[in-house]
Amino acid sequence: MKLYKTDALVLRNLSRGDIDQLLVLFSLEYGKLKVMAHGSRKITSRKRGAVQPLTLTRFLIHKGRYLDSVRQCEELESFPELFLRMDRICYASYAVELIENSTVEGEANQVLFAVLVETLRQLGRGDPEIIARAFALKLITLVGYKPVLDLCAKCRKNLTGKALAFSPPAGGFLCADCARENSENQMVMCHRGTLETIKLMLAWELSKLGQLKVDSGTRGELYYVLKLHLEYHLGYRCATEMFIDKLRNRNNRYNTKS
Amino acid sequence: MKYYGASITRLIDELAGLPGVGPKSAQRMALYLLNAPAQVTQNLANAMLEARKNIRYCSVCSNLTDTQLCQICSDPRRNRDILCIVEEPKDVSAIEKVRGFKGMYHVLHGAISPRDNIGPDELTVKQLLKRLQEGTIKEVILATNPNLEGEATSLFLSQIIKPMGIKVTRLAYGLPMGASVEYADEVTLTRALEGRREIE
Ligand SMILES: [Zn+2]
Ligand SMILES: [Zn+2]
Repeated sequence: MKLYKTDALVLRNLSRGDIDQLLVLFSLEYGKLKVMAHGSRKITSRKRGAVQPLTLTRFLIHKGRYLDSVRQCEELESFPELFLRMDRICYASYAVELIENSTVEGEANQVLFAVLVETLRQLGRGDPEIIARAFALKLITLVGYKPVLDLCAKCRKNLTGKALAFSPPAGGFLCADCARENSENQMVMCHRGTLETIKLMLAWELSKLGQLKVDSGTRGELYYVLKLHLEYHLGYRCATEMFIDKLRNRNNRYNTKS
Repeated sequence: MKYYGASITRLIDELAGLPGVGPKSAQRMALYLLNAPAQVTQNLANAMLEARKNIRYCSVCSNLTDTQLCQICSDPRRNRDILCIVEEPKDVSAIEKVRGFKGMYHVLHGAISPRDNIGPDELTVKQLLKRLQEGTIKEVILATNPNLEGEATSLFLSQIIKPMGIKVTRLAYGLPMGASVEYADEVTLTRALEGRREIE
């Protein structure tokens, strides 16, 4: 009988039949894994709490011929502060969705694992939007899609001037001249401040970023830069992001009405 | 299962597509139906077609019904001050079974799920708000499931209902019968402690 042990963050659980769940995990030792948790939806199941999404759990897993299954599990850390606010739940979902869609099954990435766990802790403390943007930047760097930040991605000259642009096909930021020539490609115009914020987010620890003051213009540009970059490299639209947009529009609609 | 012939194989396949039915049970059901008197199969087929044809959503609570107003909404003995919000029609029948609740219901037909981009507008939240604005309801009980989607739904609803001056409560989650304290997770234990009550 083959058993192995691993600590993993539960990214998602999908119902299978009446009482079972298929878990998508991001584990420290083996990266992304899909495993069956038999009987975990029974109300008396000992596994129930530990297989909920956004829980850090120690698993003992049985290696199956087709699909591995959970033999035992024990919750190490849940993040109860996340469930106190809607924006925290949203950005935590965003983080786990990005992890699920940017990693390969069976490939460990211990640094990314640590970043994810720290992100879930910090989302319960600091500004969730800023923590989530910093997480996304660290993620794209760790999975190999780091944008060019120090020079113009086209002409390789220093990025001078206040007006810049960001273009995923070009591989990063562009100077004003190159941005003009690149106008037919996917691109967002942005200010130097956004580039500086991105550098800061990559350099600083997440625990320090929660208190970072970012104005709404920079937030908007960060949103578009990351959205374009992630869509270009991952090849899909993040569902959680669409949800967050939808909820924000809905709130604006209701607030202007009353 | 090719040796059964095309029409029997098709019946087995259709049955196996139902929730909770595996290929073995599907085969057993199919053979039972084929061996039973013709009337049994006829009745079952009619019941399915009729339910399908008549089913609609109650115009007040959105529960499944075959009349314009469901049985609960048209019952004058129910307490109209208190509203229990659930995710699915099957949750209504679960709560009705224990007979402790005499108020009204609202069925959301799902839960808010950021990962699946399911928001309030994909549920019956608009109908719910219309009901609450009428002013009869004094208390709302959020009876969504204790998982990520259920928590998100409750959080969202309490944020919009509380400012309306309506009391909002959440089902207490404690330790389920048969569970042991030792194996309870952090969230369940925290909730169980918060929801503790005095022993008379
Ligand atoms: Zn340039
Ligand atoms: Zn009704």
